[in-house]
Amino acid sequence: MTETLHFDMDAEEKDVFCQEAEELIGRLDANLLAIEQKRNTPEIVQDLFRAAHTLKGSSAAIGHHAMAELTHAMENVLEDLRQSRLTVTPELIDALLRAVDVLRYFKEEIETGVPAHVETADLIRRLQGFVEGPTGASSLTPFASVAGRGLESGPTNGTGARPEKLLRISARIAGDSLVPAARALQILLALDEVGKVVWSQPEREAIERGQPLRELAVLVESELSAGQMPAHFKHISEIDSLDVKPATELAGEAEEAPGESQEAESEVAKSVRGAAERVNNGSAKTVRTSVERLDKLMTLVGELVTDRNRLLQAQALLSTRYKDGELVGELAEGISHLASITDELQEEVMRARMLPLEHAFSKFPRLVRDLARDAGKSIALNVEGQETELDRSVIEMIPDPLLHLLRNAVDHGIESPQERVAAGKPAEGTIRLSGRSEGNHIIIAVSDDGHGIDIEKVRKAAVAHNLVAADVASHLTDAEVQELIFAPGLSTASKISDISGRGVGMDVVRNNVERLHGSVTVKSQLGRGTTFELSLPLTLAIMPVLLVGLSDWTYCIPLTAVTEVLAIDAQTIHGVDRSEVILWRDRLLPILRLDEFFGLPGGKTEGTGTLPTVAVHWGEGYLGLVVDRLVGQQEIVIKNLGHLIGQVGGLSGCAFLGDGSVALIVDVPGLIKRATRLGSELNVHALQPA
Amino acid sequence: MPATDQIKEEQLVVFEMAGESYGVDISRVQEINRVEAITTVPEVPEYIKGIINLRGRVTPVIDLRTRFGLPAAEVTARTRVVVVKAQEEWVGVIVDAVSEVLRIPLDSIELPSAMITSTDTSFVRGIAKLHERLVILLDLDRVLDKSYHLATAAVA
Repeated sequence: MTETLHFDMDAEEKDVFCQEAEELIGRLDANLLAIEQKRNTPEIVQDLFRAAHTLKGSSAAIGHHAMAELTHAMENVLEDLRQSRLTVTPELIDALLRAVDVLRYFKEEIETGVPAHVETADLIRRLQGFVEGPTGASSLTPFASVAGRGLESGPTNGTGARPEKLLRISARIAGDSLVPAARALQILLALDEVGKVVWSQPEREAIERGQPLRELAVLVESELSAGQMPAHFKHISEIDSLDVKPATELAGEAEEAPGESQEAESEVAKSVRGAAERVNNGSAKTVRTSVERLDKLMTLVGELVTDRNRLLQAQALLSTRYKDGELVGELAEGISHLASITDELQEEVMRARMLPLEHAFSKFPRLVRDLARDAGKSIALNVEGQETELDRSVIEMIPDPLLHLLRNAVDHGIESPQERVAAGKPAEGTIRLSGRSEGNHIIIAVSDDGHGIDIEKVRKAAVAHNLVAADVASHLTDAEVQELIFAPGLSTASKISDISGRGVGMDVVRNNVERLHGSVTVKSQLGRGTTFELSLPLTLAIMPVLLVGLSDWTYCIPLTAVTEVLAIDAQTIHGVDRSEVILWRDRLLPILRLDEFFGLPGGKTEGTGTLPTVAVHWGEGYLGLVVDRLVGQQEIVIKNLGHLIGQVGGLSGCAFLGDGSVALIVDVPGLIKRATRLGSELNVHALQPA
Repeated sequence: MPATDQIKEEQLVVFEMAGESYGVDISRVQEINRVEAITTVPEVPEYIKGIINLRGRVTPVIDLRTRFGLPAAEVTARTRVVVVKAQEEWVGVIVDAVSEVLRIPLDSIELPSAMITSTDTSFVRGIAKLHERLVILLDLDRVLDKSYHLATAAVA
């Protein structure tokens, strides 16, 4: 039987814990790298300390002692760093990063219940070594006292010149907190560090058992004044209010010097007001909700969008039939209001599902650092635009392709330091990872200042791998050759990756991105570097489409893929080889009669005269889709075709139209790939050998 | 009614096709509709007629005649779509007509191999003999399994 771990929490608490841990671990990672790159500001060190401290509190609360001990050791090191008792060395950063790695194992252990079997004793000793080092005045506190079980008083106790004062602290924990006991324990742990808790209600034992609570009252002996105290709880989230008063004052014995008391009180008032402002500013006014609930909401809004379309259609019919009807006007007004409310609702729900790109980006700085180290290269990763938001369903899908691009940039893009210096470049290479929004899309770019793609080598390799004929290859433009790195045959050939500087598994990247209704393009300059741009829709759930008629049916073409709507003369269609083309924008555009392609009887695309044609693009490929008629534009909710039907070539799903009927969605990338092996551009050249 | 009696019988939705009666377990039947516009899906086996919007669900519709290798029939006023629950979704099944709901004693069910019907027996899980009638009990999971093909051509 396999060993499983159990911690002191239920499934929902575990989700919250793991989410928070993930966030904190990410912050530790990012901030450590920032320090390593000489961006050593007090804020960053402070944030590191807070993150380690919070993790210590929550891991202690769930009873993961190894994690609590490790974070405690990290906290000690960071405290010395914060107090400038330690200087940053590569060894120090390495040890802390190693500790972050172990925290990740622990988090996984908690998530899966499968023991990670990580031995931390050596690492903890290593960390302690920094604190106890010959130069540093040690601030090391034994873990037992922090856990509050030891009999020693807090570290500051006895060292202060002033006698301790008794403070009374009352805290209210947010009603929607899923882990109120953990928050309460965090408060107690924070207090342990600045004094000695002499009494608490509920008692510590009850809190450690995870007993739910809303209010916590504590009496603490500390040398800190009431005004200094709130700063120590700043990092604890989900605290609605926190009040610190001298205990004597509460007892009505106003013995203190009036000046001091007033000062203390005004500081308390300030801190309370600060908390209140935070609440009003919304930073504390958030609710954690499950992804399932958001998905359900999105589905419901999707239904509503379909119904709105249906009502609008019915209303249009009614209006033509009973132009002057009084009720028709009334109905139209109601429907138009309903339609605009639906729009707004859709917008809001979509926004609720948005996450900043940071969620996908956060692990990359560390990753690039490690990869660069393995490759013996010096590389700086600049991350920009990580506040840009997009739908979580898309966020979840992008790390894989990005990882691939970054790995390629490190392994094949950036040159070795020697090569770089020889080429007159700085020894340190730079990779830029950036995100920005553009209309309904988000553009994520990965660019490096490495040696770029060698067009001639790719051209030769493509011929060698039988991707294109030699005479065709010689006529391809540079952009077209660069496109070739996405071709399956070329990109998987490991030999090419060395000479082209790019390419391992690029077809996988493109396929992944296209599955998200996105596209990926490449621009490269030999000697200067390469840029990959991913264009992704903000959401996957709702999509604007062009509706076209084919025989008796309506089909949807995603608007993002539509370049232009044409009316072509049937006589201008030329048959070349087994395909058909027209002349369009000074190029040959391959065309596809959609009704024929889908095997629909009764289509009219074989007719003479003018044929409505939708020019679509994907990557660098273009294709003209000949249809029976153009119906209009609409926003649709994408649904899949279901289990029995499964994947169908040329289709990416279906949608319900206003009249309740089902329309199929055309898979533009699939069609373009199908129409030509490498996209229409190559085909065009294949057609006109010079 | 004592519980033991309930176990001894099965409740079936009975429908007609090419002159034969077929039955499916009533608990598998979601609803019974008239045939409405079905959206044809390209590149699927011929017996899958397409998909419909069944109150917000994408629902595939299959033609049981084609599935059984029987000649196609015109849609008439009696033609029905029996919506049944499959493993992952609802599936509409086009039949000539739905006739009744029957309770049949379990001991009236015989194994298919003993009988000759116009249907490939691999889709049959049993045959109920009721007075002078025969009701063929369908194995829905096999009927709805795309990877499951007719073993032999239909016997006329």
